[in-house]
Amino acid sequence: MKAQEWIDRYVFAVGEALPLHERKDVEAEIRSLIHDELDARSNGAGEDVDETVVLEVLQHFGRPEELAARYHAPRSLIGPALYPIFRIVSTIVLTVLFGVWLFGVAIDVGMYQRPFTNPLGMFGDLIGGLLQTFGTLVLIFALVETFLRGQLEAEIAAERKKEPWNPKSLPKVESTERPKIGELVIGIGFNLIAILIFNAYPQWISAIFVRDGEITRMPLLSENFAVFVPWLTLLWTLPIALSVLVLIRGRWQPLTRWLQIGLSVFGIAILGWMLVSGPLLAWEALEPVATIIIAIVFAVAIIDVAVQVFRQIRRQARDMQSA
Amino acid sequence: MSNNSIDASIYENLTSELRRGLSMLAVLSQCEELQYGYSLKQRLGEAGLDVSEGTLYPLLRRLEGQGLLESRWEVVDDQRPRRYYQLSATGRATLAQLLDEWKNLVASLERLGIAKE
Repeated sequence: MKAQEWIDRYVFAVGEALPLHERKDVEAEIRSLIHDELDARSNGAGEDVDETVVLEVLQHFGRPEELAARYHAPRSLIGPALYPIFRIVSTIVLTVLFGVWLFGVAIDVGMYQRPFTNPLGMFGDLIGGLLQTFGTLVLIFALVETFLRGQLEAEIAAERKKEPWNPKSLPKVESTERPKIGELVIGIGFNLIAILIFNAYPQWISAIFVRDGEITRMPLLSENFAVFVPWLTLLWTLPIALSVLVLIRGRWQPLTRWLQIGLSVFGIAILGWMLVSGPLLAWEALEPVATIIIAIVFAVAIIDVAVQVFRQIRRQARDMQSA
Repeated sequence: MSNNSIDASIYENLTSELRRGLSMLAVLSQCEELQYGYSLKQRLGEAGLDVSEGTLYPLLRRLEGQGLLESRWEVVDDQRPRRYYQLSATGRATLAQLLDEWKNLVASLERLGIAKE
């Protein structure tokens, strides 16, 4: 294996044990420090540095989780020793909770064609439930951290003493991309607004005329459009689940990328269905305009999916080569 | 285990605690000039104070977090970035106070017959 691969694995392993906001900066610094050590030992051999030297340097840097623990603020509610476990547990619990909620919504909207009667209340319940569960998990872990930290650390130290750490045990760097948090949060916000408007306030999607001082509201969407609303709701709800999962995990992974591609394909299918089954608008005269717009969006979405698939395949091929 | 035998982990913890404060003082004192992690480690090592990578580099970050050091990234040989550290104004003032404190401690230890040359 290339010496650089060991450095990547080490830096990645340290980053994984750090909170997201500190990760990028600390990773860059550790990488730079490792290169400084290597330069000093190999008289500037650069990329061609011997693998053995790299492993030796990493051995000196110590266990990634221990190094991460020293970078982290010493007093924290959930320290670096417990943080990876907390992240796994909270991901599983919150995803299951969200899945159960989503299943209920899908049954209501998809199977029984029930519109949301109280969408704000439903989302309020979901967010309240997620927050309450997350708060409970934080509390439990914080208590474990406070009362059992010493004991846990002693046990971990005793365990580690039995088996000296070897850099060769470092796991392979997963194909991963750090999510753009702002982008995901804005996406969630827009999807929630769309779900809310199309389900609870469809009358807002209308043209407003002022004639003789009187305001007249004319609905834009046809009655036929109502058939698509449950599917559009599902199309906007599933990406929220995906974004929440990516935010909790703190990274995009092959599975989540493929799920995103799957959702794009689902969106294309709905657009295609809309194109062939019109009318979508209440005004016949405007129907060709709507058809052209949807056709353009349909074409762009197909190109976008093709690009996403190409990028994902290339990323995975690169990973396989470096394995 | 007899009462007189030294528990290795306790000894390790004690020496690590003893060295922690000293390392911090030594690091601050050397950061009057611009330093990067490895250069600092070398300088401390040459003076006989071996501080491990896993201790020194996070220490620099913590001192920066406390406002005692300032850092900036610079590109080395047009190839890769390196983080440089230097005392901040607060760090300079704190170092002066810490050195006074250190002198007082040494004087106390001398009076106790511990740090006599």
